[in-house]
Parts: sequence; structure tokens; C-alpha cells
Amino acid sequence: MSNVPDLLPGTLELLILKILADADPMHGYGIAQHLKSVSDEVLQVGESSLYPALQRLLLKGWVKGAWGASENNRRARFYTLTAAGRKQLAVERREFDRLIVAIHKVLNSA
Amino acid sequence: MRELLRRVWYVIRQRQFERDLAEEIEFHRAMAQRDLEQHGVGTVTADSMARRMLGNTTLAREDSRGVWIWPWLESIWQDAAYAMRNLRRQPGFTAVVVLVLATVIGLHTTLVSIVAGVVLRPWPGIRDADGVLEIYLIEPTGRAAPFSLAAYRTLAEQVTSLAGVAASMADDVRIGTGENVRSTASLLVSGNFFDLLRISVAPGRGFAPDEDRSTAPQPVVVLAWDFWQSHFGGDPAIVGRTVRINDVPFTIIGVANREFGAAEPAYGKQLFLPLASRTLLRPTEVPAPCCVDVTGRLAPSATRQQARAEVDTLSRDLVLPGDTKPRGARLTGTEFIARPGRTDSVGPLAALSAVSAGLILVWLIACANIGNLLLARAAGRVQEIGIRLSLGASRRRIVRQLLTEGFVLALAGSAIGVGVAYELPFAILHFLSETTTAFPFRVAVDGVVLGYAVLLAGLSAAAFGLAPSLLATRSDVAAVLNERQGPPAARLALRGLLLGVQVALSVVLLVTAGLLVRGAEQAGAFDPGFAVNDVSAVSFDLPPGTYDEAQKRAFFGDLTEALYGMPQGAIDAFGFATWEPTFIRRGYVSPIRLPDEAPAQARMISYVDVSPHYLNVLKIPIVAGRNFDTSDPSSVVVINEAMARQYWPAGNPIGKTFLLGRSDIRQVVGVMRDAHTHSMGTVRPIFYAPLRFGRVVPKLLVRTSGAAPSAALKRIVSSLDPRVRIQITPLSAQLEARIEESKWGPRLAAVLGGFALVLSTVGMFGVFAYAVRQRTREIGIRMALGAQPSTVVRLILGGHSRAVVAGLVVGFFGAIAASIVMRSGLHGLSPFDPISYLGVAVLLAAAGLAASYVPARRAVRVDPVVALRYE
Repeated sequence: MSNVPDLLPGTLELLILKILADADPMHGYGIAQHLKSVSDEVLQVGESSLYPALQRLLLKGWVKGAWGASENNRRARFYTLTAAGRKQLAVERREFDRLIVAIHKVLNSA
Repeated sequence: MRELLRRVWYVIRQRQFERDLAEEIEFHRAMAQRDLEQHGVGTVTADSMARRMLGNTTLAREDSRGVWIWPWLESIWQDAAYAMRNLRRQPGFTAVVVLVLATVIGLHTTLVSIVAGVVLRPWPGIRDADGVLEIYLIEPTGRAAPFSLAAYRTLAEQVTSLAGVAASMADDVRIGTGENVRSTASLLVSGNFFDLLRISVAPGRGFAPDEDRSTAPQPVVVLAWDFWQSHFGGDPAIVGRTVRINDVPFTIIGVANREFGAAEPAYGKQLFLPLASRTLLRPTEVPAPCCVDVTGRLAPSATRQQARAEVDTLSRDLVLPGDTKPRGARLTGTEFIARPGRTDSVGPLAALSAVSAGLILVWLIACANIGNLLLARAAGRVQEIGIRLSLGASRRRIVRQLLTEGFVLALAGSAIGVGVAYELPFAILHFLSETTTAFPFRVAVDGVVLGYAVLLAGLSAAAFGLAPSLLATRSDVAAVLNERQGPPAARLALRGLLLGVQVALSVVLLVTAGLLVRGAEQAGAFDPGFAVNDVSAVSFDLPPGTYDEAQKRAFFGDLTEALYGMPQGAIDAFGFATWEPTFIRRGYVSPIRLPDEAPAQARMISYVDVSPHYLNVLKIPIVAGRNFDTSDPSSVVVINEAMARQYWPAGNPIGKTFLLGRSDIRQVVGVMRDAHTHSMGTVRPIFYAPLRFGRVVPKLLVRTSGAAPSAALKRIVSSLDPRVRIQITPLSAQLEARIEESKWGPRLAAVLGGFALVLSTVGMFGVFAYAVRQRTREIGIRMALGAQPSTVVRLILGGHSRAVVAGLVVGFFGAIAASIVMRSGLHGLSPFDPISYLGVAVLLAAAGLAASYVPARRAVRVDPVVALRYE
């Protein structure tokens, strides 16, 4: 928690969508772990931001959850991307790229 | 939209959602702890580290829950609060809208609470009412018929899909002794009636099966709750006391529960008696009654379909009371609406749907009216909405906010309306129950009614709010804001449309009301076609069980002699009949066919058995052939002109024959002029056959030139048998009661019509007044340039007058359609009655003039200088 940089609003959702787009159904802990390892331990999200984000995605209908058994045989909710979620990922990705380019331009300007 | 559904789903399944979330987060924590342990941290430390590292689980849960609920609720609350602030700022507008809505919704909710209480509920006072079914046999003609006692017994023995069947029949008995004797309605029931239907009886008990054996009838009685209260003051020690019924002492064994008194078969009945006790009550009469109503309860494992199929099969072997074979059986629930015939085109539901159609029209007018008010108001808020839009509010958000405003208004109206509905049904039922017979139901505001009121509020908000809100937030609002021009054309068109709709609907309602009222007036001046004013009907209350056929024959023979012996001038004429003229279709009917017709072609025709002088008493002339007299055989009949037209349209009916029932041949000897003895509308076919004293107790009809000599009649009757009581009713009283009853529809229609007229007048006024205010500046310029006042008025009113005229035209077509549908309620008045239509046209024209007068005056008084300085 302490060393997680402040993300831009909505970025966590974008990241979750991206992770789910490339992988099999994952549970919340798996998503957090994956995020951590892919980002070289820079992005460590706590449950108090991860689960509200997942609920928002559920509400929007971009992901759906299904209960199944985890690797250690506990009940866990596995998330998958819906068709609407895939579309949304593309949209947000474009938006995000635009934003990053803009930020770069500002930072690199004389 | 999907999102909204998901939110609603969340609210419904909230617990499940929360459990899932808690489990998920707990899983997360456990996994984190496991990973830490694998990295060599001790269990206790790992646990606390995992907790700390991942933040507060409670916070995570609350935040996750907040995603679903909070922003949504908050924004709705904001909208509602904003709407209320806005509405408070315009108390006049708010009061008018709420008042209109409260009245309309109150009327609707009243109707619904009556319908829900009366039409849709099974019999009250019985437990597990779902399993109780009423059973009817189906006549070859397709009509539902009751069972004969024998058929009921056969069914009771054979049926397996029903836990049992019970029989009941109404019968009038006399209770008390001496001077205190009075006639009372009772219900004769089979011994299993109370147990099978699970009717609780307290104090005391219901009948036991062995108290209803025809071989050993028991004199036991169960009291109705109302009777126990009114007659015995609710005495708790009532069980075991005796009461004299038809002069036989009966032991009181129980009191049926209060609610059951409102069940259809029990309504108005004071006593419940075993069927078998009929032989005690009427020892000299044929012991088997004609028919019983049969009620069954499903066996625990059986379904309605199974019971229906089984009873239908069994019924093929039964015999109907008229000795014909039934075509099958019908099983229905005990709800009022489920009874066969209730949904017929002349049944009570037809009247109900006419009323609700009227109410829906008024509701539509009110919505159109309020829609126009909202449009005008939205135009006044163009600036506010423009600013909000330009500050980045989405159009959807603003539309939602405007709709919320409408819903808040509608809900306020609904709340008041439900308050109205809480009291109104009782007032109406109280009123009705004095003029009509039994109204066997209780009515209350319940969940169904409340739900309906809220639904209606929502529908109203959508009906009057959606179009104005969409128009108010059109994207060119900003342009309007800048240029200060009139409202966009679409808004004008919508306003005209709403105005036209109001006018059209008002025309429909007003013309209908006008026709009904004029029809009722016509009924008041109605010529029955026979002597009513000087004729009285005398009914006889013979001591039950003591008169057999021979005694009855002797009594009425002696009575006839005594009447002939009365002094000259006391009575002008008298005659006997099985039914006196009732002005509605009541009495005996029988299947009739011509000799060359097949039995299936038989039609049900009314008939009355009368003594030869009967037609003379009523002064109904014979137009062809002759009247029958005492020397005629009982096979001759006199028919009315309507019957002659139906069966012998071309030829002469005199001497022709027809078949009554299966093989009873009747010969026509005369044709009487049509008279409204059995209907106030179209005269239906009817025939009169010679009355033979003995089987039934006939009524005596006397014609006098003045008041009926009731004292002399009573003296004559008590000299023949002091136990016989008579009741003398002038026919004119019957007719007045019918006319009074028939005025209910017109009165209601007149109220609704008046309501429509007020609403549409206010609506027209609003539109005209708004048009003037909107164009004050333009008028000022025109006046300054020398326009005549008349031009200005035409300019202002012109556009909307077209809507009014179009509404009138459409409305008149609608009214013609409506009046053709309800032609039967018009008492012979033509559905095209010019006075009604002209009257409504004049009325609405006057309303239009009144509504435009003030705005027009305001327009021509516009002072150009002031108008141009405006802003």
C-alpha cells in the first residue's frame, strides 16, 4: 500500500481489464499478484482499492464473476472479460495513450 | 438501462452480494497470509502483516458496496430534494397539479380497491381458500347450471380428486312466534359444509355429518355472526338455546365467523340449517329441493386440472334438474369474477369496465393538461436548463431531474389520492347498498391498492413529463437562450397536440355523459305501455310447511270469491300472476322451439302464468286473436308482438303452435301489444299462459282508482287464514326504484364529464394565457405599428384554435363510437341524439371562449411602450 503510486482515476480498472483480456479467468488475489509481478513490484494494490474497482466493473457489465475452486481448493470468485469489457478496453487504451502522449508533451516542452 | 437493472438486482439480492464479497476478501487475505508464510514469516506475524499490508477489510467491503448503492441513491435524493425546492417555489402550480392528480388518482384507486376487494378475492372467512372450487354443470345451451340433489349425491360418492363436495341452497324461513314472526334468509347446507370449507365456528361448532341425514333430520342451527349480534346481543352463552324456525324449535349449536358473512353464499343469510332439516321446516312440500350449489375442496395431492378432468367425465352420467343431460362440468375458484356469467357483456364487469374506461379518459386529460403546464414551465426555465447544459450537465441527467420532479408531484398526488380511496369506497358502497340488493364484499386499501397508486404515479409522471422534458433539453436550447425568440416549433406543435387530445377526450366523455343523462331523463318520462300508477302487487306469506297443493288451491279459490264479493268500486280489476311486472328481466324462462325446429335450436323465452283478467288489470290490449278465459285448456297462450315478430315475422301467429321444453305443445290464441313489463329498454319476447292455482304461490294484482284498499284486503285475507301475511307494493314504487337505479351510471358519467370539462377549460386557458405572455413583445411591436386589436387576438388564438377544432372533430367521432358501444344503456335514445352533440359543442365553445377571454383582453391591452421596454 505504502509504496503504491497514486494512479490516475480509472487506471486501475484499465489495468484489470488488460490483465483479464490476456489471461484465463482469475480471482482477485491473482489479479493483484499478476499486477505486482508484471510491474516489477511497483504496482501493489490493496483490497480496499481492488475490490471496489472490481465491483465497478461488474456493475458496468465489463467483467463477470463465477465461483470456482482456487489452486489451494478454496472457493474463490474468478473474473472474466465480457464482450462489452473487451470493447471498453480498446476505448480506454486509446484514451490512456492520448493522455500519456499529452503528459509527455507537457513534460518535454521547453 | 442494463446498469439500472443490475443495481436493482443488487438491491434485491443484497445479502447474497455481501456474503460473496466478504468471502472473496477473506480469501484474498488468506492467500496473502499463505504467501507471506511461505517466505518464512511466522504465522502470527504473517497474519497481522497480511492484514496491515492489505488495509482494512471492512473499509474494502464498504467501498465495494458503495459502488453499487451510494452514488445512485445520493443522486436520486439530490434530484428529489432539488425538485421539492423548485416546486415549493411555485406553490400555485404545485397545488393545481397535485390537486388534479389527487382527484384522478383517488378515483382510480377507489375503483381498484373495490375491484380488488370485490372481484378478485376468494370467499373470506374460510381457511385455505385456494383449494375451494365451485362446481357447475353445463347445459346443452352452454349455460352453467346448478346440480340436482341426486346429481350432487352421485358426484359426492364418486369423485376422488376432491377431498369432498358440499351443497348449499338459499331458502326463506320464518323465525319467532306470534306477532314477532319475521321472514329471514337462510342457507341450507350439507352436513360437511363447515368442516370441508374450514369455516371456523365460535362459540359452538358447525354441523356434524350425522345431523344431515334425510332419514333422521336434526333440528339444529348455526347462526350468522351478524344475526347473533343483532338478535342475541352477541350472548356468549348462546349455544344450547332454542329458536323457533317455521314454528319448529331448533337448537343453536354455533355461530359462524364474522368474515364468512361476506362470502357470496352466506351474504345476507341469518341462519345456516342442515339440508335434511327441510323436511322439518316444510313437512307438506315435496321433500327434494330443485337444485343446490356445489362447492368442493381439492384432495391434498390433486391439482385443479385433475379435478376438472375427473368431474367433467363424471358429469356425463349426471342429469340436470330439467331432466336433460349436461354437456360437461365447470370448476371455478370462489372469486366473484370466476363465476360463470360475470364477464358477460351485460354482466357487472361490463359496467365496471365502462366506469374504468371513463376514468382512464379523465386520467389522460389530466396528464395532457399537466403536460401542457409543464411545457409552459419548462419554457420559463429555458435559462436555468441552458446554463446547466452549458456547465456540462448531460442531457440525460437533466431529463432525469425533470422526470423526478414530475414523479415527486405525482407521488404527492397519489398519497392524497390513496387517502381519498381510503374513505370513498365505503361512502360509495354505503350509498349503493341502499338502492340495490346485496353487495357481499368488504373493501380495504391494501398492498395491491398501494402498489397500484405508486404505479399510477409513475405512469402519470412518464405520461405528462417525458415529452416536455425531452423538448426542454433539446440541444438548441442555448440558441433559444441567446436569441430570446419564441419557443421552437416542435414545442408549439406538442402543445397543440396536447390541447387537441384534451379537447377530443373531453368531447367523448361529455357526449357520453350527455347521452346517458338524456337517456335517464327519457326513462323518467318512460311510457311502460301498461297501467302502472293505479296497480298494486300483493304478495302472500303463507305459513310454511302447512299448505299443500290442495290447500293452496282452496285458499286462492276462496280469495277470488271474496274479492268478487267486495263492494262495488273498491277494486276496479284484479288478477293473479306468478310474477308481477318488475321492469327488469326476472321470472321464469323456458326453452321454446317451433315444431319444425331441432331441439338444439330452442331459445330461452320468458313466460308468466296469469289468470285471465291479468291483461285487463294492466290494461294491455289484445291486438290480434283473443285473450284466454277460464274455459280454455292450459295449453293456450297469449304472446306479445315481439314474440310474434320473432317467430312468425310474415304470417299470422293465431292458431300456430310451438314446443315448450321437450314436448309440451302450446297454441297461440292471441297477441298482446308490447309492454315494458320486464325491461325498460327493448321489449323482449314473452308469453302468458293460464295460471292454475295449487303449485306456486302467485301474486295478486289489483287496479284501483285511488290508493289500494290495504285494510280491506288484509281483513279478507285474515278471515280466510289469520296466519297468512300480505305485503302490498304499488307498481309505481317498483318502477321508481328501477329508474333510480338506472340513474347511477348517468350520475357518475356526469361527474366525470364535468371533471373533464373543468380540466380542459383550465387547459385551454393555460395555453392561451401562456401564448400571450410569450409574445408580449411581438404584440407590442405590432400594436405600435398600428395593428388592430382583432388582428392581434386572431394572431394569438389562431394557432391553438386549430388544435381545439381538430380535437372537437376527432372527439365527435370518438363519441359516436363510444355511444354505439353503450347503446343498450340509453333507454331507447338514439346514439346520434342531436341535442347531446350540439349541447356539448356549445358547451365546449363557451368554455373555449371563456378560457380565451382573459388572455385575449390581456393581449389587446398590451401597452407597446411597456412591452418594448421589457428587458
